[in-house]
Amino acid sequence: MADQIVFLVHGMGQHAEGWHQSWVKVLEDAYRRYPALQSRSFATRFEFVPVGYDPVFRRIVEGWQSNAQALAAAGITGIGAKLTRWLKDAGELKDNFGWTHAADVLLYRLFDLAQGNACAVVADEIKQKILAAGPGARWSVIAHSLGTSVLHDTLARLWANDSIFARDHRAQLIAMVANVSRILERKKNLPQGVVGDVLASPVRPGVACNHFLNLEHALDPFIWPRRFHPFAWPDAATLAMNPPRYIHSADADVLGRSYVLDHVHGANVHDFEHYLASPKAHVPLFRMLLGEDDFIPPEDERRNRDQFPQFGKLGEEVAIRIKLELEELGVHEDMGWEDLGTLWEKLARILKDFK
Amino acid sequence: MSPVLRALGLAAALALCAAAHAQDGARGVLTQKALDELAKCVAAGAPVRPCLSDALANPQEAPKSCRLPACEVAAQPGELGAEQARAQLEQLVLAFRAVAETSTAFAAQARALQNDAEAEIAKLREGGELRANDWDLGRVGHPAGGAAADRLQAECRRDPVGSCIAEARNLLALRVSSLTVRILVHKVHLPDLQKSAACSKLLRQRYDAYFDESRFQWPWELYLNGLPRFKGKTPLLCEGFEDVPAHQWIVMHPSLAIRHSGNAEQKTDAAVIIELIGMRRWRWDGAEAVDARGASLILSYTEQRDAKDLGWGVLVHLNEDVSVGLVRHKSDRDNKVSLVLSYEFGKLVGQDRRAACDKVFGARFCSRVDK
Repeated sequence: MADQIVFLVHGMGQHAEGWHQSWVKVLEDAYRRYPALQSRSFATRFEFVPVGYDPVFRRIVEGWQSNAQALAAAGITGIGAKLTRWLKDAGELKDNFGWTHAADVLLYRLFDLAQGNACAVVADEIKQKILAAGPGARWSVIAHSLGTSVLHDTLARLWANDSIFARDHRAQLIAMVANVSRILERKKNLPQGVVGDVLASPVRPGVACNHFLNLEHALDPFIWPRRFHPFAWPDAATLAMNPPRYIHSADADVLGRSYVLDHVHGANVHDFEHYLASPKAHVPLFRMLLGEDDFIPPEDERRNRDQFPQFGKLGEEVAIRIKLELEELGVHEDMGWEDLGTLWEKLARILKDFK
Repeated sequence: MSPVLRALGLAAALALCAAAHAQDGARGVLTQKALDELAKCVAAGAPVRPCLSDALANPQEAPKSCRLPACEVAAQPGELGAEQARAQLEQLVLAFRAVAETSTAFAAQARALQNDAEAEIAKLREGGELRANDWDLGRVGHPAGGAAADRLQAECRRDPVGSCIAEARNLLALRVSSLTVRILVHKVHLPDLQKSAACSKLLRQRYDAYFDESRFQWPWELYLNGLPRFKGKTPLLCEGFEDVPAHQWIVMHPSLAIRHSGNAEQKTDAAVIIELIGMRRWRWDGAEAVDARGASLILSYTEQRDAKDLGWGVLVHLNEDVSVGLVRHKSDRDNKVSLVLSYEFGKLVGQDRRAACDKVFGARFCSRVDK
């Protein structure tokens, strides 16, 4: 058994078996760069457990597709055909952005039963693993994009009604990468005792977790609409801790260091791997994961920051073009969750241009 | 950690290793020997918590340096009774008190932990609620960073041998004792976690049953069935998770059916039916939906030559896929009453003939059907 269980919660889109391996690889590559951590191997410290809620959405859209196809195959016309024609491609996975990505957000945000099912799956995975790990087990969770919203809503339910789970099983770290939980939050029609407001819910440092890390890339278009940035969290006691209870990577100064992420190593700056490659992202992540067990010294952090290139293999010219295109997407704080699909389409165009 | 502090820490740990062989404390939750064993773990480069976790997870197979007599009780499988936990906590109070009385750097912290452990004992006596969350290592601090490290470093500067080793040992004692309290509370609450995990599993299985075994829902139905007005009052099943509904509304639901009418010119043909409004209810028996029943008001469309295309009727849902009903189509001479058999044909899309036959009629009727 590893020292700590780290659950990984994916974002929107289809995720095949083994989807988490690229996440683990980028973390392991980063881990190897810090001599102070090598007294214990990566595999001994962390057991990564992928938590996939994607099958919940796939099951629903595939059902729509197959039933729409059955009606179409029978050659029906009239209202039945009008009602269902648009669903014929719902389950297709190839080049079907609308149904593989945008529909996930729509299903999660609008369909109460899909949301309830996704949260039930995530909660069950977490509980069964903690139970199997035995007393004293330490756990953390890293979520990306849509997964940040699913994770928030799951933990808000787990921490509701003075639950027995909440009493004993605070997470060591909740890490939100490209946090969209605020734009997707629902404050009404929630189960009894559940706080849907992401700034007021128990999913915060000192309640559901010891440490909370919020990573956002300055050019990631998805973090800006109704941005998650709780100004009230970093109180004096929170900031006095080392590692701090809460870090928001956009804050220019945390214990004298800046964590602003603005590197451009590819066009998909929303990508998990793109985020975590930067020492500004993975150093606080490891510090918070290890908490009181080990420590990356400041000199190691400084060395890795100095060695990490701003533009990577892309070269300065291409990276600057990508940066300009991303800046021209026109995202702003007042956008709603309905705009996320359009944003994805725009980003997909940029990704295609710079393939 | 600075190289000086690291060297001092290692020296302290090695000194403790040597001392460990000279001592043979009584077995308990936190004996002298246990602390010495842990010091060896630290000297070998292993952090305290993982070393303790290894020992707890598998005491027999854990590295020798991690085998802790102190943890024997905690490592036993299963839950821990309140009485046993209280006895263990009393040992831990002694450990905290020992640090409070001997330490300069960590006396206040040890006293606070001692008070808290005594409060836990009182709660256990009164049947009160313990909280494992209050006993994370974070409240004690690590020799490598933070306020605890600063205090330790100050001691090491003052007296690199005596105080430094003694205070490193005190800090270690506080860390291990705190973690052991956390483990004890977890063990006392093990049945609660088991119940909570069983509840989540049940909820997940009910969702599977709802989507896989209840009637297929078109998007507008799925949306409506999630609205409070349609869902009704759903009780909480575990923590803040509502139970899965035990009914579903059927609204504007198109499907295919086979129509049969004894007095029509074309006795059997295909029909399209739209369930205008209907409902299906069931009862949860564990993870299974039982006693399901339901009916819908339907509109049927056929291309009969001797009757109107559109007809009205009712459909009774026999199970999640199969429904039967009666439909009346007006005609010039007399009304045609037809029997309709509806099936969720979408479930057959992509399946070969044999699989489709199995699904509709059951495997024992389909043994001669080719794929």
